[in-house]
Amino acid sequence: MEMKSTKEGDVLIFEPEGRIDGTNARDVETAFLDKVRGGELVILVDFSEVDFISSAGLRVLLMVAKEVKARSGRIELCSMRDYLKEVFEVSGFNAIFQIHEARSDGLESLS
Amino acid sequence: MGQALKLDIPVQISALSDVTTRIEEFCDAADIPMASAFKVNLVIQELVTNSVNHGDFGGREPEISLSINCDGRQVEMLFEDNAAPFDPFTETPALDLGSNVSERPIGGLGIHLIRSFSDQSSHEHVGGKNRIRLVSPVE
Repeated sequence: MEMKSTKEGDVLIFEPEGRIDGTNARDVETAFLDKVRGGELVILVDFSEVDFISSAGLRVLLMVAKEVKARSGRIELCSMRDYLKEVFEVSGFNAIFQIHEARSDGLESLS
Repeated sequence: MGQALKLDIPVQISALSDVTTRIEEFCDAADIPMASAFKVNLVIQELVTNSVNHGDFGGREPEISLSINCDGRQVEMLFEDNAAPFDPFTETPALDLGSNVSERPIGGLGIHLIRSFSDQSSHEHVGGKNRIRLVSPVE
């Protein structure tokens, strides 16, 4: 999968595309952790181009969140389709991640 | 008119892409809206992943098969594997949704999602196979 990232001020915006599931979880995790270990500790994940996430994808986000938190960083999410938001809600991940409606809300929260 | 799909699935994670494509084609043909199609795809992906990663096939040639039927109101999924008897619905502990990010365990999510996104879920072991039946509404 494509894993674009851009920097806006101190915030690193991740823009995964397509699916985050068992077929690519390891690649996505590596992409995230490389950035975190490289010192990017304020992260917004923009879900506007993501159309599928499974428990393997949630697991990656949880591991990244643990790593970010261990370094006193922040990670928040934005622009998620309703049916994906439901996955976060039933998994209790909405208590772990702030999920913003729009990218601008996420940037405001993290800046 | 009802739609049906039958698949024999290779017991490997790389099979997930093809399974997803076939389910998407099925959901399109059955006119299942995107949010419901997503749930069907998700629960099947979780079941296949569980069998591949945790199934104890004990030297047998691993087999997974899937059949899906849709009558326009609900989707019925029958999933079978020939792994050792395992009922994910009674043998998997409930997820602790309250724990915070540092305490949250990494596992157990897949079965939780299957439970959450199915109206009915059951397991039986018949003819040497685990048979999981799930029913998900078309909304």
